This record gives sequence, structure tokens and C-alpha cells, in this order.
Amino acid sequence: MLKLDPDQRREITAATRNESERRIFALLRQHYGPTQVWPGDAEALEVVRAATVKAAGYEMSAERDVFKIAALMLSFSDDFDTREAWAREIVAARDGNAPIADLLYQAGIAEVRRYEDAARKS
Amino acid sequence: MLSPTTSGPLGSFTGKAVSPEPIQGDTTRFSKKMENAGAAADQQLGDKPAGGDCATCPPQIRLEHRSQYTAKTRYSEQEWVLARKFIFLVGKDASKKFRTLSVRVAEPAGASATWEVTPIGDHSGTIQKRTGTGNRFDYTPEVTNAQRPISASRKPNPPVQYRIKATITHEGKSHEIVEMVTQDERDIIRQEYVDQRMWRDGFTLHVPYRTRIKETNRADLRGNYQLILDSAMTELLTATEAAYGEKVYVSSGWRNPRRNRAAGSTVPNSNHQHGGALDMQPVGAKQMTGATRRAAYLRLYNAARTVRSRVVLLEKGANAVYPTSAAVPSPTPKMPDDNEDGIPDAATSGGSRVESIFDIASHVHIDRAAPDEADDD
Repeated sequence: MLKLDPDQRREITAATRNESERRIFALLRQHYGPTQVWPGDAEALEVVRAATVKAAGYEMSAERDVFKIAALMLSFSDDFDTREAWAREIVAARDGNAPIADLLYQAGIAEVRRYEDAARKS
Repeated sequence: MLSPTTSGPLGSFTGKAVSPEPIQGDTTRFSKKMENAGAAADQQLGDKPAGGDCATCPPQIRLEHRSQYTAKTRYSEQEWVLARKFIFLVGKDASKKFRTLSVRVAEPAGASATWEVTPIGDHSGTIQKRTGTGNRFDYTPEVTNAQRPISASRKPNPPVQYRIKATITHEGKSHEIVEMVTQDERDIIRQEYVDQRMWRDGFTLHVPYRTRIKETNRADLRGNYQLILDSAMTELLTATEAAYGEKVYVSSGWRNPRRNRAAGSTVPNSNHQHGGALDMQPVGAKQMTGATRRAAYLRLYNAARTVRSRVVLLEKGANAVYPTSAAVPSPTPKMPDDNEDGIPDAATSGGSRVESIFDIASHVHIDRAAPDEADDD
């Protein structure tokens, strides 16, 4: 069995991490890059890293979950999960460590749509 | 581009600028772009785990919070909890000392941090010692009456909030984490009782248990909040409606303390404030007149008297107009009821005709005494 020393293991996990971040960032840039919420590549990469940490705080590690958390951080704010009433409700109603990224994302879309509809009428 | 943080009903939108207008010729709505992006993430990213330990990544940092309420087993299985599960009140407790809140670094285990706690908004008070170092940091918010008004209001109070910044040195590198702790609606409601106990003369109602604050689908039971405090209210209502045989209209249910004042009550410990009182009217009473109205009120009053309660009052506004919980005499051959309202035509109480008293009544009040639960004060 191949044994890795701690430095080798750290290098591999760092590479995995970077690859993962790059994948999430690339897709995020593809969809949000042309919009007004894109803060620039450097800042957006920081948002992806912060989203990874935030998602981990909710015991979610799937890339698609991190993507959605990052998208909400871009569209609302870094602390959307404590600032926004609709997000707080979802967090408070969470059952155990159930993944809630998609619930949050769908609720975020609904909030944006509500705003868009109201703005069009006004 | 519209600014979503301005004017009217749109003001509640706190997202960044999201224009409903086309941007650079692209007419796709932002919400549609979000939908597309989410679908792409599901298809292209999937469940692969992101991150993981690595030399260049920040360590997993987890803060935990404690208050005297997370320490109570009836509220929390764990004394130290994540920010999103944190429950807390501020202000002086029963020992007349300001409540202390705590935060610690749970992960990396035993790590030391430099702490900075910042109150968000005047209503969150001030903290004399808001910086410190160590694995754990205790902070004691102090509030004044000016910061936490107890005057009449029909609007909900804002949540008390603190921003907590922890700078942690781990394996030779410095990492910063910022968390917000925010009162939920149950604690926003409970905080009103702490405020009243500190500053309102004669206010002795206890800080209600969180478990007494409940959801309801009856808007007529609500105070300034979506949730209601209900120590006996729905039980009284259900029992009264069962005895009455139909729904009743609740003109006043739970009143949070500030709403109680807005309703004109001058009674410091009004039972409406702990969700133990109801003011009820027959449905459609406003359209009723004469004997029909009196008969409906009499039937409701008698139904309420069959319910286990502290008192039943026939009131006009805030004043009782008939003796507390007293029976209304029934018609007899000697005391006839020619107009068929159920009240003897010649019956009197306190020098007034009972029929006249029922004519001026605005509601039937029923209540139970406040529960003696001082644990959370």
C-alpha cells in the first residue's frame, strides 16, 4: 500500500481543493460573470473560498451546494444566511444536518423574482 | 438601474442591484439567470466534495455560543451552540445584573482567539469590554431605557444583534472569522418583557418561556408579531366557542407589552400580555341591533361563564359594566322577557337596567391568571 507522508498528503488535498475551487469558480463566472453582481475575478474567487467555509459550517461539502451558497453571497451579501429573513427561516427550520443549499437558492430566486415583478409594476 | 434599497414595498429587498431592465441588450431576467445557473451546477458539479484539508486552505473554524438559556435543557440539548441556534436575552435579570453572553472557539479545539464584539444598532446596547483574548470570551451588553423604549407601538421590535470577530492563530497563520448572533422572533418577543421588567413601574409579569410562544393561523390573536404568546388564550377560545356553538370574533387577543399600551391599556400586568385573555364579540355584532344584539351577547357571556377561567367580564372599552362573572337572571313569570332577548325586561344591576348594560357592551372579556414561571427572568 502506498503511504504518503503528511507533506505529500497536504499537496494532494491542496491540489484537489484548488481544482474544486476552479471548477466552481469557472461555472460561476460563466453564469454570473456577465451580470452586475460580479465583483471581478479576484474577489469572486475569494467569495468561492468563503462559500466553501460557510457551507462547511452547515456541514455541506458538495460542489453544487458551495456553488449555490457562493451565488447567493454574490447576489445578496456575504452574510445573507443571517441577514435575510427568508434565509433565516430556512436555517431555523432545518432538520438536523440536512443540506439546505438548494432550498436557500430557490428561496433566493423567489426573492429576486418578487423584486423584479414589483419593480416592473412600479 | 433601479436601486433595490429605496422606497416603498421594494425597500424590503436587500439584495445587490438586480435590474429588471435589460442589461447591455440582454433581456433575460436575473432570476432566470439564477435558475439556469442552479441547473448547470446540479448537472456539472454534483455531489463531489469541495475543499478538504490542505496546507494552503484556512483551518476549519467553528465558534460556539452560550447564554443562560442555551444552558437550560428545556431549550437546548447542548449548552454551547452554533450561531444559528443561539438564543439569548440582554438586560438585567432577576439578580439585577446585566446578562452575560459567551463565545468560544470550538474548532480548532483549544485555539486561542483575539475577540471583538460589536453591537448592531442602538437597540442592541453597548458593551464596556468588547475585546479580549483567549479560547472563550464573555461579554455583557448593557442597555438603557432610551435604547430600548417600552412606549406604545404597533410595530415589531428589531432583533438584538452582535457582530463577533475572532482572529485565530493556527499553525503559525492568522485567520479571521466573523459571525453574527441575532435574536429570533421568540427572543425578540421575550426581550420586550425583560425591557418592561426593567423600566415599567408595577410590571411583574415573568419573561415568558419560549415554549409558550407559538405559531397561529388566526390573525385576530396576534400582537405585533407573526408568533403569539399563548399561556391560555387558545384554550379559552376553543372552550368558549364549543359552549357558544359557533365561531366568535376576537377583538383583542395577545398583546405584546408595547401593543398593550398602543391599545390604550393602562394596566401594567394586563392578562392580554401573557396570552391569557381574550376580548370576544359575536360574529356580525356590529350589524346587530336591539334584542338581537343583546341576545347574542348574552349567549356569548353565558358560554364564557361555563369555561374554567379567572374572570368573565362584560365590558365597554376597558371598563366592566356588569358585576364580575355574575349570572344574568333568567326570565320568570314574575320577571317576564317580552322582547325575547333572554334578559328579564325589568332586571336591574347597580341601578341600571340589565338590558341597557348589554346594549352598551362592546365585548366579553375572559382571562386566566399569568403562569408563575420565573425561571427566565
